[in-house]
Amino acid sequence: MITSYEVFVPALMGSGSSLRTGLKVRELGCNKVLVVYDKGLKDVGISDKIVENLNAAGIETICFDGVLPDPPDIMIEGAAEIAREGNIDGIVAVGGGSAIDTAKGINVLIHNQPPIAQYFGIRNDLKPGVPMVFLPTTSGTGSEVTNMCVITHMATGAKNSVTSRVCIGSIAILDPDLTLGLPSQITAATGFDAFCHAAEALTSGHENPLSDALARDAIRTISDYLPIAVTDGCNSIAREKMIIASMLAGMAFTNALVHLGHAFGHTIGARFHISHGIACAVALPQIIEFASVTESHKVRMIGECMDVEIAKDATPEEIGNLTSHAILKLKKDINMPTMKDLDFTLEDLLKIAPLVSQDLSFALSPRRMTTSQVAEILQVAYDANG
Amino acid sequence: MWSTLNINMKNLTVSRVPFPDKYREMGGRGLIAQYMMDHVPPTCDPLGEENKLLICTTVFAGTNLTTAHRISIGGKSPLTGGIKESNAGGYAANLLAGQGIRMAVVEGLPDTDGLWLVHINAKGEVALEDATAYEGTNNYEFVDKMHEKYGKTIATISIGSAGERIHRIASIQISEFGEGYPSRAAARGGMGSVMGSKRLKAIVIEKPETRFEPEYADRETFKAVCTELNKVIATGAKADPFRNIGTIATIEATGLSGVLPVENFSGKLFPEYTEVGANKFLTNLASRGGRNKQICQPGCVVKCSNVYNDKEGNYLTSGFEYETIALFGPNCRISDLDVIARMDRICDDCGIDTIEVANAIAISMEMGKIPWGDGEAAIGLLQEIKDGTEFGQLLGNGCEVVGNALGCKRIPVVKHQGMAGYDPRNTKGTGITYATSPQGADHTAGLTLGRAMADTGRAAQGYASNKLQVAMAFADSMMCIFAFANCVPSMPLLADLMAGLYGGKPDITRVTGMGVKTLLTEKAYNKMAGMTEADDKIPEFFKTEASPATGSVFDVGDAELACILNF
Repeated sequence: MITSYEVFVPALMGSGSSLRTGLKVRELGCNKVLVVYDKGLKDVGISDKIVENLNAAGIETICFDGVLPDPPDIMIEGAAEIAREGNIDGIVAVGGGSAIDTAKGINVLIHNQPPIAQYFGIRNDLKPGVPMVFLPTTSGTGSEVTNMCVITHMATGAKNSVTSRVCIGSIAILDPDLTLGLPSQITAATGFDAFCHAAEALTSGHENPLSDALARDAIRTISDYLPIAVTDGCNSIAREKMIIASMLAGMAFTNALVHLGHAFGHTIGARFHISHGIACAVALPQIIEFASVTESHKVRMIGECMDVEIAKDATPEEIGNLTSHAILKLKKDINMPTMKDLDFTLEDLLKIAPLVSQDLSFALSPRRMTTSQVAEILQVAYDANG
Repeated sequence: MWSTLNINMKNLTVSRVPFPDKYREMGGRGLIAQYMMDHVPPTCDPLGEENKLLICTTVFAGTNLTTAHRISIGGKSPLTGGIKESNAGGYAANLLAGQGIRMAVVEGLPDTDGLWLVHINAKGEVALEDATAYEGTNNYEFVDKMHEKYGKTIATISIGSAGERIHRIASIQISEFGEGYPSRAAARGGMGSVMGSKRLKAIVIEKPETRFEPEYADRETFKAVCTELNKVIATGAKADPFRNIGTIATIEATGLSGVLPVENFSGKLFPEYTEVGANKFLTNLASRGGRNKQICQPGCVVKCSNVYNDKEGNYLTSGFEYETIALFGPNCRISDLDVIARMDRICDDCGIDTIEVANAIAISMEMGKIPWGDGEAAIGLLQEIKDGTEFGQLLGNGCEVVGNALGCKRIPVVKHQGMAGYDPRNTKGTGITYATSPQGADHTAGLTLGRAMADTGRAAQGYASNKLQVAMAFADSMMCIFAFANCVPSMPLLADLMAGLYGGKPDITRVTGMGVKTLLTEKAYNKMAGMTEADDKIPEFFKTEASPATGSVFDVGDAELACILNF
C-alpha cells in the first residue's frame, strides 16, 4: 500500500527547555509577539515566567489571557483584533489544546478577514500568518504538532476545525516541568486523549508506517507511564515520558487521522459538557474491539504495545477482545470515570447515538458503523469498568 | 387522479387503471423496487412470462420542479439476474405525466409472432397497434417515421434491433425534447431485451390536449418552495462544468489521476486524454455548429446535454457523455472523438448500452480479436451486432460473455455488469459502490470521486459510498442527479416539497428514508433471486494488479464491504 507522511513542526524537548523560548523566538526573527494563555496559567505563575523569558531576550510582548475551553470563534476573533492592532510579528501559546488552538485561530485571521467560521474545513487558500511557538502544559492534545485547530462555532454550538498550513507552528517546545503541577484528574484525561490519538491513528484506514511507529511508541509509553503520572504528579520521568508520548501521538494522528473514538468523544463532550479526554475514553475499548474485525493486525499492535499476550493464531475477534480488556484496565488504573460514575443516565447517553454519525471523524473508520451499532457500543460502554 | 397504464402483451390489451394509493408517495427507483417486490417473483426468468417491464415517472411528476421528469425503467435484469432500475432523461416522462400516467406496467409474453407499439393520443386514448412494419427498424429511423405519422411534438420510448433480438445489453431509448433524437438511454441491465422479449417496439406519446394536474395537499406552499428550489439549482448550475462544458469535463480530472479507464482497466494513464477531453469537444462543437447547454426535458435548468456534429457539420449524435467517451476512447486506446461519436450514434440507433459494449470491445482488443486503438475495427464489431453475426450475438450479451468466450481473465464486471468509466483502484469508494450496489457495477449508484480523503486511500471510502448510495437512491426517485447535486445545500426544501404535494410534516427523513428503504428492498429482492455476499465482490485482478498510474490496488476487504448498506 502506498502511503505518505508529512512532518509539520520541529520540536525542542526536555526539562527546562522552556527557558529557551526567548532565544527561539528571536531566532525566528520576531520582535513583538502575542502571548496566548488562560488565567489559570497566570495564577500558577507559568505564563509570567514565559513572558519574562521573552522580555529578557528583547522581545516585546502583548498578552491575551482570555483563553476559554473549547475555544469559541468569537473569542478568537476578538484576540485576533488585538493581534492585528498590536502589529505583532509572532505568537507564543502556553497551555493545553485550547490555548494552542486559539493561537492557531488568531494566526488564521492575521491576514484573512474574519469571521473564522468561513474557513472551516481543509483550506489550501489561506494567506500565511506569523511564526508561532507552542509550549504545551498538558500531555495530551498533540496540537503543538498538528496542522489544525478545533473551534466552537457559537452560532450553532458545534465544534468545527480549520486545517491549513497557517495552523502549523514554527517550533514546539516540550518542557515537562510545565506539566509537573497538573492535577491527577486532568493528567488522566489529557493523557488518555493522547492514547486515543495513537490507537485511532493505528486503525484509521489512513495509516502509514511512520504514524504506526510513532503511535506504537506512544501507546507503549502511555501504558507504562500514565498510571505513574496520575498517582505521582511530581514524577519528572513520568512527566517527561508523557509529554513526548503526547507529541508522538499527535504526529501519528495528524497524518493518519482519528476516527470513531473522537466521533463518540466530540458528541459526548458537546452533549454532557465533560472534558475531551474523558469523553473520548468513554467508548474507546469497545471501538477498538469493533475495529478489530477489519484492522486486526493493527489492533494486535495496540495489544502487544500494552504487553497483552496474543496467540499467533488468534482470530480478529480474540485480538479485539484481549486488547479491549487491556484498554479498560488502563482506564481503571488511571481512575477514568464511566458515564455511570459521572451520574449520567443510560437513557440520555443512548439519545446521542444518531448524532455520533454526523461527526466528521465518524466517516474515517474503515469499518462502517451503523447507528444501531453506535447505540449498542454506548450501552456496553456506559458502565464498563474492566 | 393518477393512472397506471397496464399493457398486457399476453392478451394484447392496454388499459388505464387508477394508480394504487399504496404507491402514492413513491416514484422512479423507489417505486420500481417496491412494485417488483410486490408483483414480480424474484426467481422468475427475466425474459419470461412473469417478469414485468416497469416505466415510471418520479415522486414529483407533473410538477414544475426542474428535472422532475426523469424516467425510470425497471424489471428483473437478464444481465445481472437481479433487480434493475435504469433511468434516463428525455421528453417521455413529461408527456406521460401530462397524460396523467404515473407508471406503465408491461406484462406477459404474446402467444403469437408479431410486434406491437402502444400509442397514446392527444386525447389520452391508448391503443396497442401492430408494429410489424417497423421490425428491424432502428431507433433514429423509427423516430423519423413516428414524427411523420404523429408530428414532432411526440415523445417515444423505443427499442432498436438489439432489443428485438433480446440482446442482454439492449437499451431502451427515449427521445429528447425538441428535435426528438432518440439519444437518451435507459441503458443499463438490458431493459431493452425485456421490452423485446415482450415484443413491444415502442410507446409513442402525443402531447395531451389538456395537461393533467396533480393534486396538491398545499398548492401555494409547494409552488413557492418549488420556485425557490429551482432558483437554488439554477444558481448552482451556473458554475457546474456539466452545464458549461458537458459531462465530458470529467475527463480533465480522471485523465490525470488514473481514474479514467485505459486499455481494459489496465490502470495506466492515457497521455492523449486531452484528445478526447473538454477543449477538443468544445472546439469541435464551435467549428461544426454543434451545441452544448442543451436540455433533454422541458424546464431543466442544468442543461448538460449537447449536439455533436460530424466534420461536415451534419448531426452525428447527442447526449454524448463521459462514460461513453471514456470507455470507447481511452479504454480502447482510441483518441479520436469523432470515431467515438460515431460509435455512440450506432449504439443509440441499435439500442445498446455503450458502457457494456465498450467494455466488450476493450476485452476483444486485449484478446487480440482486433488491434488496440483501431476505431474502424471497433465500429466493425458494432456493425456485427447490427448485422446479427455470431460474434455480434456474443457482443450483444455483454462484456462478461465476450470475455469468457475469448478466455479473458480480466473482466471488469460486478454482478455480470460492466464497470463504468472509473477505475476502482483509484477511486476506491466508487469501487465499493460497484461491489455493493444492488444494481451491479454502476457509477450512478454512488460515485465517490473527490468525496473521500484521498481517492486512492481507504479512509472514509465506505462512509462516502454508503452515504451516496442512499442519496442516489432517493434522488433517482425524484429528479435528475445533476440537478440534485446542485440542491444538496438546500435539502430541507425537498422535505417541504413532499409535504406541499402529499401533505403531512416536512420531515427530511421522508426523503432520506426513501433512499434507505429503496436500497433495502432492492437488496432483499436480490437475495430472494439467489444473490449472496459473494456477488458483492470486485474482480480479483483489481486486487492483485497495481495500477501503473498510481501503484494502487483495490484493498478494501470483504469485512469492510459487508458493512455497506447495513442500516
